[in-house]
Amino acid sequence: MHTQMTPLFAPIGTRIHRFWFRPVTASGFGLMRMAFGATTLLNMAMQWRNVQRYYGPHGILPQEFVGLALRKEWRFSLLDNIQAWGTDALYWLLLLTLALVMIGYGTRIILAVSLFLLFSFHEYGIVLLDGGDSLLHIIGFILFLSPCYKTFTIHHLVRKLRKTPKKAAIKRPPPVTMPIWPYRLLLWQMVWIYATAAYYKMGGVLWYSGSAVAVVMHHGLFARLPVPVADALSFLSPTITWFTVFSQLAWVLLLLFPMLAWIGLRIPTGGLKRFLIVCGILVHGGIMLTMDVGTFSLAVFVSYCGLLLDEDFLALRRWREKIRGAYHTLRQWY
Amino acid sequence: MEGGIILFCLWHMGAVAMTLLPEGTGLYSRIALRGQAITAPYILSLSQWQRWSIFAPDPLLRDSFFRIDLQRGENWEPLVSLDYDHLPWTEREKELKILSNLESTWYGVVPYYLRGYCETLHLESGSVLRLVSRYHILPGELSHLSHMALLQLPTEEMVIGYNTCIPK
Repeated sequence: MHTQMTPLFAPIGTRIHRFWFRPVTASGFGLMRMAFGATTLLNMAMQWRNVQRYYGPHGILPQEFVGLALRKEWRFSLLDNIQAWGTDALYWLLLLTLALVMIGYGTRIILAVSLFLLFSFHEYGIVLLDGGDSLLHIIGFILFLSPCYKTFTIHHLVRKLRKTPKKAAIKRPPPVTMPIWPYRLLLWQMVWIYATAAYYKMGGVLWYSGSAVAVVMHHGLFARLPVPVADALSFLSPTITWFTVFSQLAWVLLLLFPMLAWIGLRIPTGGLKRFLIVCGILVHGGIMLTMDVGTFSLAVFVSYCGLLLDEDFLALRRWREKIRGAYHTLRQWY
Repeated sequence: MEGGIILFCLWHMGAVAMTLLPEGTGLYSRIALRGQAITAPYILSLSQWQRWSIFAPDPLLRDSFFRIDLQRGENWEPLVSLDYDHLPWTEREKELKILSNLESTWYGVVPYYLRGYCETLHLESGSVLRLVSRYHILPGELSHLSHMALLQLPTEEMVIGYNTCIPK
């Protein structure tokens, strides 16, 4: 779908309407819904042996302790007042609903049920919550607000498989679209995550000196690499450390540049966003390979799916064609 | 309908921003606190609370290894090692997260954490367990971090909590 730029001097109402409601591809959010279901399912499924320990009424945090240990204001969890068998039942129901979210069955209601259960488990199991859990329940809420059920569902797959095999006879269906406002919510959230993460890092010493990454690579709680390997890679720490901070801070430009359009200065941000996503994939991919921080890196990749718009899918298709072309050229030479 | 969506989006974005505003002083602080007080019910009730200060301002230099000891008379016998090498990979991240929280602010929960091991290890009633943290402080200088395999860092031990096994 070709993105049309609103004329700079269009009436303010037209520009506001287009800012919040211009149609964009629904594929990004459909992919994000599938990835959210899969990642959260994986995250929760890995806890199956410890459900009663983590969330049960007689576990690490007994029910009688909840009123003392956890906040009372605006907090609700189904697990606060149920018996042990109820915890197990809700756990398996949560896994089932996440699987259904992943395949897109009965999406709006099932997603609501899965989020209700997920929030209950997270609000009870605070002591074991990490950044990946927080990001997943934030993404889940944005998905609930969005029409994420329009693409990549089991119904679409069944319909596609039922079509006649002759491709020439099939008219290409119109692209499935959604209004852009859920994307704006997600982008706002991601920019604030990266901006505040970079801000807090800039308050430290080790991120300035360049040794922060080397410290984490040697930390017994996270590090996957044997100590000699971490030692050998430590020379890369300054480069990776500063790259991490700058690439996180650069996300702020995705908000600043579009604001300049309101005063007549139009700076396209599509290429910048794709560049920052690639930087994020490098950083979080590196974290995933060298450290054990749970599903945080996967949760970030889930959010990146939702940030893909029409021009990004077009760019991906062009990159894929270029790579294919280069591969064929190399094969011909050799 | 569209106006309502725009207003909701602005409200949600404002609430997220208020939640994530860093602490400050003066007028900024008063505005931020007021904003957080207004948006807190919405953010908290929908579990949208968040703070993104992982590895910040600096990564944790305290590197802890945990174990559970069983009391035998006057002595303590190591029973279970709870570290990266001994925990199953599916449970590692969560268990270490819990343990680091127990070490820092959740020490009141340690008896309940140890109670689970009374059952899984089939310990006799009256057995006394303790959770121990053995830690060293990582250097912050790159020159030292490049030779950690050769360094002998001083190690300290700290008892985080106890539990006496009782019949179920």
